[in-house]
Amino acid sequence: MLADHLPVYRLRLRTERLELRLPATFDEIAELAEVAVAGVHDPDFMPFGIPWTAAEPKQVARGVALWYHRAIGRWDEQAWTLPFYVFRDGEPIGVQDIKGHEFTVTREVSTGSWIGRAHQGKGLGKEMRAAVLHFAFAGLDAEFATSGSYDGNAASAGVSRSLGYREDGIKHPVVQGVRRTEQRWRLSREDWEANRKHEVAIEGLDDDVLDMLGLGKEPS
Amino acid sequence: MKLADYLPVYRLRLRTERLELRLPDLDDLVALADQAAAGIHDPDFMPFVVPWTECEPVERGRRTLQHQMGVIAGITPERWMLPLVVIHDGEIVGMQEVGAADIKVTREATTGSWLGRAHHGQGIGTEMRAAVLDFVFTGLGADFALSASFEGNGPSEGVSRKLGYRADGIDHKVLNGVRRQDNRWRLSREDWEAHRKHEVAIEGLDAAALAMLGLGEAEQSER
Repeated sequence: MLADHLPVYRLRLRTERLELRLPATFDEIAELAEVAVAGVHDPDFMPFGIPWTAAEPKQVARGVALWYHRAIGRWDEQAWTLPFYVFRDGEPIGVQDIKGHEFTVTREVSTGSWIGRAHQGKGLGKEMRAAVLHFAFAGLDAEFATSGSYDGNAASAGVSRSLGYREDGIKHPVVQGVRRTEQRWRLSREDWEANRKHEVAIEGLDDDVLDMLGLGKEPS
Repeated sequence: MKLADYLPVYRLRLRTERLELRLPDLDDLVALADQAAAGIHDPDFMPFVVPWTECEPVERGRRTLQHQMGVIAGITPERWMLPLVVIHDGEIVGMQEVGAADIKVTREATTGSWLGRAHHGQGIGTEMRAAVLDFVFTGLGADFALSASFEGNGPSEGVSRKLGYRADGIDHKVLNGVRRQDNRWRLSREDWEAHRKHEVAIEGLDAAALAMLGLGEAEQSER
């Protein structure tokens, strides 16, 4: 099985309404590409630093598929991106990624996400973020999680605030030739614990998965 | 022709009460390398993200020279760094970098610096930072200046606080296998104006120099 070679494919994060895992088939990648084509955000407000949604449908779909393959293809134990697909009632509805860079030393992850417009406004963005936070803090013993939201992205800022993140300064990225203000967010383990609202179950986090995340036991 | 005819940023001079800042010629670079070789920080506290000072004095001098040359070689209007040398009483005492990416759009610049140990504790660090801040805000019309210092780097943090910067969050960096907390600092034009303490004169910032820094007339009129 693929998971024998890429153990992260064993991971499952489950919340009340959602399942987060890597896609099991290429068809699921195609389905998620179609979710993105159907719309991810108000076209008048670009919430991303890389404006991948400002393109023709064909390019948006291809971008979704390539992004996933790239995350897996560029796997590095010291710099990984887990590109979790978010499923509700068996259908993919968005992406919730979690990244670690020299995680064994930093004990810090960063996250990013998007969700199809049809699925917004139901608290699912918060639920999927809570899932990867549980994975980071309870599963991987992280000490910090960071996030970022562009000024005006109230939904993303709201998720961060309600889960206990604190403001962590700003950035001024240039997107489509314009200066934007990105609010940085930081969540400590302590603040995470004080703001947990969702039950999350982690499946498949065994030694092989930890090894792939740079957390393998030192050979004795 | 002179060097500055090809590379107009070589015309720049920033002058304060006690200091002059400019791009180094080769003799200046050697004098700067001498400062690096003699030591620029307590060996028990690494203030740099890249621990380039952890080596023998001669190697430290060489790295200083090659870093300066590399930074100058990499200048483009879209992304540049000016590694200015700092002259006090006719002697090169350290360096003060100022750089930016897409400054025409971001209106934001970043600084970094070091000073030979013999010259610490005399307020030179504040005065040289004040010089490039004047360059950034008055000369280039920026809205923000950024800096960063590792937790525990009292002198650098002190300079930032004194000049009006505010805390701007943190980063965790890995240095020699250990997590270090990097404190980010941000200075707005308004806070800069409220904390100016040094008179700074800017020389040589003409249209050609501005163009080299991505602020040419032609580019500006596109918008």
